[in-house]
Amino acid sequence: MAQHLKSSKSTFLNVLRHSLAFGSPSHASPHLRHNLPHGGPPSIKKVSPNPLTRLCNTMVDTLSSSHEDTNSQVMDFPGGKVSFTPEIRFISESNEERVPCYRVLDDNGQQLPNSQFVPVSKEIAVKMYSDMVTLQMMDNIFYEAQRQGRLSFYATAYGEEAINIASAAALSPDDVIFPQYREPGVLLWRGFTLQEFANQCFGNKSDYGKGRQMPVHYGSNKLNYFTVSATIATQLPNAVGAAYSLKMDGKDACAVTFFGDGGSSEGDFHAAMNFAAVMEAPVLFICRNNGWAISTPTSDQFRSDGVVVKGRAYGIRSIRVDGNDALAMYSAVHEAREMAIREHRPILIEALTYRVGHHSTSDDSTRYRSADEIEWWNKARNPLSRFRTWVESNGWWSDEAESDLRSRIKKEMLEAIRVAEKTEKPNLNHMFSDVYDVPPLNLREQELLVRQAIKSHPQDYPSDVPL
Amino acid sequence: FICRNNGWAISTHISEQFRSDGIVVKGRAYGIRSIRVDGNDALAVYSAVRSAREMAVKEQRPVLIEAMTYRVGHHSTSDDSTKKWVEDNGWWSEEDESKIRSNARKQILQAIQAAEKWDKQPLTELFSDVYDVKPKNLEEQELGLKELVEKQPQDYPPGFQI
Amino acid sequence: MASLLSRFCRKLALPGSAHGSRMTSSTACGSETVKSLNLYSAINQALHIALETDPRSYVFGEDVGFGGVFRCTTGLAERFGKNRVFNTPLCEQGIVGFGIGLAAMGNRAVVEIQFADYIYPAFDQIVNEAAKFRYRSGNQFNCGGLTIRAPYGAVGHGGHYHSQSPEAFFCHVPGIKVVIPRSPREAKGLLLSSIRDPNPVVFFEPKWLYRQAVEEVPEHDYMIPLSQAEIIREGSDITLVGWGAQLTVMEQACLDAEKEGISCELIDLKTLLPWDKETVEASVKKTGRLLISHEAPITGGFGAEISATILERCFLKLEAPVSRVCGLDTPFPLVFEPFYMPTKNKILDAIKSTVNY
Repeated sequence: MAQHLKSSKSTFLNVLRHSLAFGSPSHASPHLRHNLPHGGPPSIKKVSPNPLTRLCNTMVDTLSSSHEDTNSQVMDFPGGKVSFTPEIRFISESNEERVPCYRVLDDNGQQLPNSQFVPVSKEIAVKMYSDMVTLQMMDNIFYEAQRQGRLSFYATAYGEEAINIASAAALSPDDVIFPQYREPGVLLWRGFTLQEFANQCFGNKSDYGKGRQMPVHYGSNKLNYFTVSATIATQLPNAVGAAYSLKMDGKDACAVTFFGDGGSSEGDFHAAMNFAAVMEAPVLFICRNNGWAISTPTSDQFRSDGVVVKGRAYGIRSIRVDGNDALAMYSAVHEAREMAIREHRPILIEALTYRVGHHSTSDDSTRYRSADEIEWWNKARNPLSRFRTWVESNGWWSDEAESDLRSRIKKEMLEAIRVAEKTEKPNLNHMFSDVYDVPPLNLREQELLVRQAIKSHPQDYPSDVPL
Repeated sequence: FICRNNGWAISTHISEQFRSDGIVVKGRAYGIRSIRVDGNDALAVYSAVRSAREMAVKEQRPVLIEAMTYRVGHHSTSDDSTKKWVEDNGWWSEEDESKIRSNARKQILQAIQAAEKWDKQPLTELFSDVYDVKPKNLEEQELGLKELVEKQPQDYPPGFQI
Repeated sequence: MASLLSRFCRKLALPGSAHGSRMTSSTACGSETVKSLNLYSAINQALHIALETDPRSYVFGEDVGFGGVFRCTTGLAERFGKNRVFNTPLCEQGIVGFGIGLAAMGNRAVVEIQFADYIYPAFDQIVNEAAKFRYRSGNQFNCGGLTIRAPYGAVGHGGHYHSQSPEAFFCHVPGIKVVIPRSPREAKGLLLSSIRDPNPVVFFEPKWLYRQAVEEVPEHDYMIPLSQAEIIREGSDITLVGWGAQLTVMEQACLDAEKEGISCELIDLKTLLPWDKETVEASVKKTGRLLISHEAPITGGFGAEISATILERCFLKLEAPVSRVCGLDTPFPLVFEPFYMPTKNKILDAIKSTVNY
């Protein structure tokens, strides 16, 4: 009874890389319902014995003359041929089995037997691991600084270090990044210094953003990392336009955009995915499915098998990967990037992970989830310890290297904060610059008015903004 | 969710609209049961919608139906297939056909004639139903407009009762 | 019904030789060649020139491939190829979002929203992305190459969803520019300026004028500066400010007022954001009276911003309250359109009562 309702050939994905489970076909028999209305119109029994003739006669007049065979099993609608069936079958809402998840390392960091992955050199592996540690420590120290009242706000990437660093490692510096807000690791990998991070968080005059946005809203044109905006998923269609530009300019590069499980519910996700497919844009959609959108678990976010199944809804190749497995992330992104650029196509990567930290410093997630759950993910599924095990197994890391790194980073971080805190704020005129390329009259007038107001009532205004 | 996939959005062919296998495959992206049906087949559409409705109401779930069709102009030949089937059952005849066509035509022409001749809406309906209850600004604007129309009726189309 | 409505809808005549009127744009000079064009042809010309002069420029939107529902994009796909001029899926937030991405990479993206009535799904992209792109990045990035074109305004039978004038929503967004041309010649020059302006621009085209307005348009590549208002009719008793198609109606009112001995000065604002306060201020200081007219509903319309600003700057010179003759505070109605609109006579009445205050 369970029969797959075949769709037209043109959508069957060719097997791409045999080594990775991209676009794993969901031919496995889904639950299909055989639902004829009970006590339906008696006429159904009297259906013309040859539904083929009936159906084909319908189409004969409406189709172009190319359709000659009246016993054809195929219907020719705009957009391609579809075969038909006289049986009423609904496509089930989901596959019996979930899409499997690609991983290379087991929970303990041991390489799985028969695992396939893109090899990483010692240099890359060590940098990857070091940057994961650095990211984690940076988060620790900035988070603390916020708790102490030295920073107004902060958001950590705890639990998602592998996604951050491994994806960055697999990309080239020319690939343009459109982040959400939980991917500072990509900047870190590319060379953004701890001082530069601190400058933005403290909004001082060395902040490239000129103190205009909240902490963690980083951006760097030098590192091809577009400035973070807090609006969810708005970056997705932007990334597609950027990818199209890269394609038209013939660049050996792609656009890469990150978003969370929550972001996949936004209309901009749908808009971007659809555009990417139609425009044949070389863009990677990397979804950090970390289980939570602030307090909203994924069961309240969608009822599909996660985000990976949405790829086919747009005609986009997709893969589900263990986001806490640095090697798997690296390989998936590496392969996806190549496909995207070579074949001018978008790729969707769903990286399964867990948001170990609170949504931000404005959130206390123990109010909606158990501390045990958080702790389990932090310990048992920690991406750092898994990768460290693998790196060490290659003889590329040691306890000594670990403690050296950690003490160095700690020192650097504290110094970066100290300097950032001391550095003066951007000049007041930067409130008015960059709204347009050149300040229009109304802004020049308003600046004069504000300066007058400051002169009259200096006590109303912060004294650390130079005039 | 009943999608009329008729192949065109004004001048945009569906190959410029999406690159998936139509709309039906999007059901699973949301965990929604779906079916593709020949939109030009009255019995198929009837059956699909009947079944879908039962599922939706009984199981409290959404259902997606993609009805494939083609945007035709003056005459729709899909009428012909349904007609043939009904005739085969002995439920329809040429006489019935011409009767219903002339009746429908008559009724439509009558309706158009009547509609054309009927009074216009009273002017107050320009201002009602913006909200459940007319706010102050609209009351004022209505008074102002009434004065104006009374003063200079030649500026305005006739037949709108003040 | 259609004939009734058309009788009471505005009759359009762009006067060639009305007294002191410069309804027709005054960018002509000497020996250039001009051609008689309607609005959609003038816009089409501007787009051809834009794509010609910058190989990294793109035109896209719903149905632009075959020329667009208003024919503004005729011939572009054939001439520049489907990689640069193409149809998009039916998704305004996608169209604008994609355009922002293209612009962020240094391209010029001239996107079309089929009717201004449908621009709202893109409002988030426009306000939260385009308008803040440069500022939030500290000028590391910008999407100045983005221009969003959309037909707006009454057309006689458009009802709720083919007649809207949404300019006021956009005038409240620092970081973008809002431009509205009044005629074919103006449209070509303003559109080229908008496309080449290093800031994202929303360009509303008065759809009523697409076919109705015909004017001599220079064939060469020319630009009309943004944020510069133009006095298109000089006068001494009252200043009138408007934009787009409404100016034709206002000019008719000025002509009628003149017969009654009232001398009207008519200003085309052209750019609503940032707007040229200086020109309006100078005029009102001369005439002592101001009347603003727009199709959009009066409450919260852009006329309120102009009124408040002029009040601040010209209070002592004002002989009468600032008058606004605008659309009513209802959704744009179909059969009631002739009652809803700010008609010539409504404007004339307001001119007289302001002058006789």
